[in-house]
Amino acid sequence: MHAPTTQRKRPVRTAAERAELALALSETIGAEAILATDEARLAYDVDGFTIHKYPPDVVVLPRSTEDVAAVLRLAHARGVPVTARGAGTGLAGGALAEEGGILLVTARMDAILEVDVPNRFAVVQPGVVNLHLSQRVEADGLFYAPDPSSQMASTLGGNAATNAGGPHCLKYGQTHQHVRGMTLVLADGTVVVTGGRALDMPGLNLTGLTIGSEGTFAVVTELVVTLTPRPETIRTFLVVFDHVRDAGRAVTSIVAAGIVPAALEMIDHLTIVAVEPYVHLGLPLDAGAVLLAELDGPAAGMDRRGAELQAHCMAAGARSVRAAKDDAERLLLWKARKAAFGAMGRIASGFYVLDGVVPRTKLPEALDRIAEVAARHDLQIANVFHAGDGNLHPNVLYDVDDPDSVARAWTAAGEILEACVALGGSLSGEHGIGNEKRDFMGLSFGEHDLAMMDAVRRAFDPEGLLNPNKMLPRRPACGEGVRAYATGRAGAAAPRGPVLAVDGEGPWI
Amino acid sequence: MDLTSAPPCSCLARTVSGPATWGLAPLRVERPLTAQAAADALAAAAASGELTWIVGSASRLGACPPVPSSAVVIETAGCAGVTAYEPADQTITVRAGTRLEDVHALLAEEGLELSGAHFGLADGTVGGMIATDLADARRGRVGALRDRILGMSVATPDGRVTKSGGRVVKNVAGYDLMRLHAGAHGAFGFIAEVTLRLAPRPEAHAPFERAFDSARRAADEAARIAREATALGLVAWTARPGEPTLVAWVHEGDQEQVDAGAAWSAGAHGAPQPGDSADHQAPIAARLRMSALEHVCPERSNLLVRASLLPSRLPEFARRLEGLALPFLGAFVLQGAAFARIDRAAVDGAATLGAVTRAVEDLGGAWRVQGAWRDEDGPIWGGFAVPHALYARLKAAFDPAGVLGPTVYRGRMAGEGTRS
Repeated sequence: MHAPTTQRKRPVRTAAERAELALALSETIGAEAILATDEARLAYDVDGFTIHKYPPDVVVLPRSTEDVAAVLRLAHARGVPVTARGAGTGLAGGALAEEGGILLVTARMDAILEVDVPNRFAVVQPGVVNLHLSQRVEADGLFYAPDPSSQMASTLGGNAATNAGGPHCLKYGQTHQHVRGMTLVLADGTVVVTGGRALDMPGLNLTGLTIGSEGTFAVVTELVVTLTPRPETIRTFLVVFDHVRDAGRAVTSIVAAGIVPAALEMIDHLTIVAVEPYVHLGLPLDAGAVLLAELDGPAAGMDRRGAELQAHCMAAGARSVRAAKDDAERLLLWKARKAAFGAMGRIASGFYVLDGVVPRTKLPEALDRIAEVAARHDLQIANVFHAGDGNLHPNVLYDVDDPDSVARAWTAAGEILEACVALGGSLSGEHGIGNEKRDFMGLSFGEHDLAMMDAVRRAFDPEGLLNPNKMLPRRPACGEGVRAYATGRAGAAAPRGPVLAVDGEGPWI
Repeated sequence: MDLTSAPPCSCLARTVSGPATWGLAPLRVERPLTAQAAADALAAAAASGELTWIVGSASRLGACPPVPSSAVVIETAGCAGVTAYEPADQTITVRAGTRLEDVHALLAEEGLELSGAHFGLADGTVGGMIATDLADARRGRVGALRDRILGMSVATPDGRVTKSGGRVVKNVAGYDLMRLHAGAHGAFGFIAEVTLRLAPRPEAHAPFERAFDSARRAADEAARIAREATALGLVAWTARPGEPTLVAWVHEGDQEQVDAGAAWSAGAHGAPQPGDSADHQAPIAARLRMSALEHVCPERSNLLVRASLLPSRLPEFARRLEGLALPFLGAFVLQGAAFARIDRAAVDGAATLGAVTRAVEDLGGAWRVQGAWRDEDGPIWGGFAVPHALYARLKAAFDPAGVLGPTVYRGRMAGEGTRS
């Protein structure tokens, strides 16, 4: 078994070296696919995790599997790292060219190659925007189920890289449950096809293994994805609670009753205060929490299920239940949830979005711990979460102009992730590890677990050229031992400046 | 349907007595009680270069790749029991040797189920079910069991126990190594413990069954049912020479949904049939026949081809194979899984195998052979491009000595042997 990846220093390429690399790439796949000016490099130096910025040496925009294979062969021969990037909406720094090298952007690989309605699948290139696929097959009564909140911008390749979820993955599952097969290009340019159009193909389950590997195993150049029949009926309820604990009890009660909602989303008091002046839904500003519950499926039985769901909420102490009367009102109710992150900009100049997971039944305890952390660091933390599957998105609010506030936010974020793991949960439910949480991996996994993961990574990419320094913790340099590596945060740095100071609709969580 | 009719194979009623029944002469049999003990046993075998075969209850060896003629047998039965069960979180953590029927019984008390696990496999173990990645009849509706794996601990020949995933229903931290182990038949390690996501049992069922005079007519009707009926849990057809072909289907879900689906089926096909609770309410006769279809003789006289096809191609698959003397032919329609059994005693096994696999590949599908495979039969799987070099590197990462599951991937992964 190999030792975990040792941290490498970012190589510095001179302007002449970058120009030479760009020229070689131009001669390989054409000059129109290459961006190498300083302006272009800066435009691609960051993704949705804006704490760190790393300009790549060259940006390439391939159009085909053959283009990607040619780029990777060239990079492999020269020992140049390659980082694949979809739309750059990821929130964990997974698409940062931390070691420079080539940033391979899949934006031009945006073709829907095949749609098979009877057998309910589509073959797509990785740059297809998630929502565009659902729009394409809407007339056929189908949709692509994983719906990360970034779905109007994020790409299917990026979704596969992070095993993206979304509000409706409570019922429909995450990306790995909807990808049947993939075409991969390994670091040396070898093309590998995994799975296929049919389900349960023979051979090793490389599709399942590769999804969620954040571009560290291979570059995905084609995906076969399952399409799902659109539900006949959708019922959406906005439930107001005096106390967030009551809302948590309602969630547990609904699920325990055997009801499978399409979504169970929650926002807490602080988020309500931020979002109501923005969406004007009439949410009571003294409410402790709002639960957005959605049922979908055949019309038969929907009335009964809706009544049961409302009864569970009332029994748990709900103040009121509002049912959407039509699609327009349904979208309005969802606005309270979808606008939550954008609304944070109204109450703080910066916020840091976390992505911890706890067992669903531990939600109240997790919220208590988050409140303790907030009090201890004199911060405000607003909670938006996928309550049905215990996926928390605490927003640590801070003052971007106050370095001390920034530092406290960073420390608080670490303590919240530690609390999630201590409660039996996970570091990430859907955003991924990237470079944001790689040094926390020791909280969830032991040294041998991480070494085995690294060995599998090396089976795909022996030289470690694909998306280096992501997912696995950076091992301290020789002689420093592994204690810090195994317990988290080795070498982690505080954010260097303004973080996610946004307004409007983004970011998408 | 006469449920007392003679089983399709003379050995069907026999009790499976263990690996020896399947032609494996154990060098020794070990039954470790802990994951670490399993890792120690694997390390000892690897150190001495002994081929190693990991066995659950041995109930499905016929559905596995060929069993080696000689190996150290490591049984999972000693690593059994439920480690953690959280009905409110809908998760369960079980050790690999736990019998599926025990898990099903425990979950039923809370109205939960392990969706995708074979309800007809009373003797099977959780670890065996995952290692063989057997898709059950409801896979098309509820998904594959491998997709319900939240976390896993695995013992490997380096003497370590490593984990991946976790115990929560949503988790993207780290590589999902557990998905590699699902379906690898123990070639990468000894699955010691798994955490699985549970689901509520469907509130209601309505099983239907209808007989047809030919496989192709049955396949056509099964395809129509799959297209037009609602609230389907499974649709299957099974054909045997000299008997009517059975199409079986089940409506499942909320009571009102099942009532609506059953009304459609009753209008088209008559009254519902008795359901079998041992197989999630599948019609009894069809369930028995399907079990027989998957059966492979301990005498190693027959082969089973499992094909992965697009559902729309199944009627054509039935047409192409109509003229062959196959003792069984069948399909789970919603997931496009087809099965063809070949009896060496009755036909030229290699030639018939070739005809079946050509039909699968002509229709764009892929296949694998199980049961009594012999060297002269040729490749054990086909219809897809095997990335041998990558497979070999993965194998070396877990099992550098190449002792685990010797007939599963050992030679083939390195491009050796006859089945590359």
